[in-house]
Amino acid sequence: MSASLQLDGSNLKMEDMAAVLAGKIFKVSIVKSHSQTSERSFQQSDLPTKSFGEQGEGFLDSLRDWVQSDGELLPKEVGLLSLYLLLNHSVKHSDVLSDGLLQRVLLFVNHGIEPCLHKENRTETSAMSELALILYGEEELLCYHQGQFKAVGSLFEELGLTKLQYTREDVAFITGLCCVSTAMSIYAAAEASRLTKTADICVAMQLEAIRGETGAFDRRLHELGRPYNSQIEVAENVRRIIKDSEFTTERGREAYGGDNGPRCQDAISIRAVPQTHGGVRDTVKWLKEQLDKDINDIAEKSNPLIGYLLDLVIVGLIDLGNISERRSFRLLDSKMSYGLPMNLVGENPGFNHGFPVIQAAATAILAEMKLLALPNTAFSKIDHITRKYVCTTLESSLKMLDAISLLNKILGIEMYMAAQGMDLAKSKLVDFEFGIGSKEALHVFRNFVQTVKVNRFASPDMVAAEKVVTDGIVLQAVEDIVGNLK
Amino acid sequence: MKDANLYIDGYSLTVEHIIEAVRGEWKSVRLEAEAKARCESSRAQVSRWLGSDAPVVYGVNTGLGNLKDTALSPEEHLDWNKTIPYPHAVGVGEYLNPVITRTSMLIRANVLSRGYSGVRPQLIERMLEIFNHGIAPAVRELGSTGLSDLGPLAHNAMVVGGLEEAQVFYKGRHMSAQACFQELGMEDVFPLECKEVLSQMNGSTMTQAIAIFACHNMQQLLEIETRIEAILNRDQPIIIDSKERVDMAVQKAFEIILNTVNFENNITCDNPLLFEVEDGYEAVMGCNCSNTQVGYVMDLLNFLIADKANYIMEFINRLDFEEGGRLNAIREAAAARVRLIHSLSLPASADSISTKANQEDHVEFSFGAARKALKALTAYQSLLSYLLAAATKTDAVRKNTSKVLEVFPDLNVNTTGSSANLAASINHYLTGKFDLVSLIVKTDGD
Repeated sequence: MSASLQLDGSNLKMEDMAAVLAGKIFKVSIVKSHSQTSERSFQQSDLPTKSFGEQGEGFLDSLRDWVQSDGELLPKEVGLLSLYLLLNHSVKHSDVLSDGLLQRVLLFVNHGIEPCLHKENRTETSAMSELALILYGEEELLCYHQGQFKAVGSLFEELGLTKLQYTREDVAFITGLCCVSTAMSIYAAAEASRLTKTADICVAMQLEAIRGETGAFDRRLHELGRPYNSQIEVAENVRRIIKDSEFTTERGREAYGGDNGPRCQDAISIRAVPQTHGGVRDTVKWLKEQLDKDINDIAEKSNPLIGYLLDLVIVGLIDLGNISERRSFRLLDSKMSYGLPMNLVGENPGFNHGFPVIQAAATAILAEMKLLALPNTAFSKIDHITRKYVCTTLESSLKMLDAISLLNKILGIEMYMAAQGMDLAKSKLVDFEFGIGSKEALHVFRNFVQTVKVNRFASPDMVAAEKVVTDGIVLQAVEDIVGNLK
Repeated sequence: MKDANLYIDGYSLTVEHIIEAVRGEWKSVRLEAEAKARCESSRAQVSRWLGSDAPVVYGVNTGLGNLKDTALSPEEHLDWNKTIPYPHAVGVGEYLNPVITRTSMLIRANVLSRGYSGVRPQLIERMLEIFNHGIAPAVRELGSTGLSDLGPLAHNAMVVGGLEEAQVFYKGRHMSAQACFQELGMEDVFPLECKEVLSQMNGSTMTQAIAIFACHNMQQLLEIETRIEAILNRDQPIIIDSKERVDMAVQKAFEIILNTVNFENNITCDNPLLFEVEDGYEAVMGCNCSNTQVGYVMDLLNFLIADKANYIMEFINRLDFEEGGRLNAIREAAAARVRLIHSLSLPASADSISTKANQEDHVEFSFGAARKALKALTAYQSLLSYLLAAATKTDAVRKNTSKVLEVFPDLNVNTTGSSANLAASINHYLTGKFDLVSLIVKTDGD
């Protein structure tokens, strides 16, 4: 039985959005607000309406002017999230909107129909116009429904839907809203959270492999010393994942014999993890806190604050890439890894090459990531012709997708190498146990990528490792054991 | 307020307090009594560790590097602390604005007063004495990654200890620290004891001082902008699309920045930290010298200024249009400042380069982020000066000089001469009137 959700324009929650992202289909209904803004008219809205001199097809042609239906698609969840936002906002203005529009959006969300928007529609007006055309029934556009992509024409036929009759107000209203960039930001923030948690797991695996020193994760350093919540959370996550580890102890270090005397502290890329990963989390937190407000107050025309915060999350994700790449790097060198075989070679070094080029790929991808650092905000402007502010938030959100995709790969490589390091450490200390979460992480990762003993085609392993990260497979497995990570 | 003292305790120092203290709006800054007791208590443990049968506690009674497993005596620590700041005291380029380095002394005193660092309260009082006298360490601007401002803070430690080669700025004079102390009747040498050099150097307090002034400048510039807009809008409002929305967005984002900088004022950032356990204290090593969030928010500040700059430019464009192109020189000069601000928006925090033979293999570059934010704010100040110059020129043409003077009554500039010089005069006026702080101040003889 599906849960029900009654929208009144002010009660949408980020948890609901997370549930939609996770594939939940709500039974949605709406309560029309009593204090309506019937005074307002959307006819003065942005450009598309300017050419709405006539009824009927005139609207549609001007919408079509803005929409490219070519190239890659946005994540399909974004279309559905956009509809929730549109619906929630429409409730507040239902007196000027046609009932047909509200019923059409309701039908889409209740059937779990996900409009597929094209990436090439790089402005909010274009993206919202595509959404509007899909709701109308533009035949060659796409939706995702019941596990498959369907052309809108055949979907409408299947569901017995007719084309929507828009009013001038409907179109002006839809095309003036920032639903798509807000939906993209919700999607991206959830992805960023997955990545920050996954990075904590990578660190735990790394600690096992190098028999790391855990004092840097001591609760007091964070709760008393520098009490950012984010920093406290990361230290706690890592402690929970490595709970009961015998490798990350003085006894483990002595037994392995990779140290000369007691280990004082690990390198910064390991011991500054609570601070650095914590800082990255804060950028995501700031974005989520603003989204929490925006989902019940969708901006018309521009939402610059979300853009600034997205640009900053991109910086944070790049920094997560910076620190991950340095951790992978340390595993290549026997001195830095406290005695793991050079280049993590499984057997017969010299003949077998190990991981140096795989690690260098992380470096290369990181350099690619850094090219995304320039904030789109710096290119917002006041258009010379129209004298309108050109907001870049949607463009920032598109760039964020690229950042997420690249970081999946960098963390995939770190996990791949840390898993190899764990296996090599374990082969020397067979009676020692890993921590409860890191043991599970290794176990599950090995269902997808095997230990490397002899020279083997690297690329498929890297692609598989990336998928483990992207799909949250190891994350889910670890959370099943240690409980939800913070 | 002039008659009251500001007490620091490590938990409550704000940007506002700091600016007030720097401006001399408090009689002096003192260490609060409870904080002093906390410091005495943790320091007593350090003294116990310095006893003859104490265990080796890394970072407390040991040396560094090859000496890390060797316990040093209190005398050896005194000797060591006379030279160990020197190889850390890196720095090239121009001298940082003395207002910034002086402020770092206050911020650091506050950090140490939390009590986790195990230094003597006398050290904190010495730092406050230097601050209260208006003495500023002479520190060159380049050489810190922001993963600890080791270079700048080693300079501070040299000054605090009264090391022979330490230099300061005092009332515009660049002089030796010892000579300055003697002139003021202070102890010229303050022997630094066990743990007291590392406790001063570890952490990013110079970055923090720059960030404080970035926040201060931003607050002042937003105020200046509001005032200039009041002039422009007095008779006939100039409506620019979405301006209110951008203003609101900038304001909200700036709240995040200010909250973060205020939070970072009251943290502990050195190593090791002393935490109370049943029978005394335990020393724990960590990495709270990473001030990740500060670097991020300084980059964010740059983004905000980049968006703001577009609006200032639009005002100037409109004024120039109304004046039939007479403000062309102002318009083009202003546009160059907008481009400078935009080019400075490349974030510093997205980079990291491994240092110290891969031991410090991730750095924040927060020092660079804060420096860059302050530079962007200086460019923004210049941009606002051009806007005010444009308003002044327009005013003059219309034979109505009262508009500008109503808002800036003490602005006394020549409106008939060169536009560029007019903007420069306005820029100087704003600097003085609103206490705007730049990264570098050229002084005679440097």
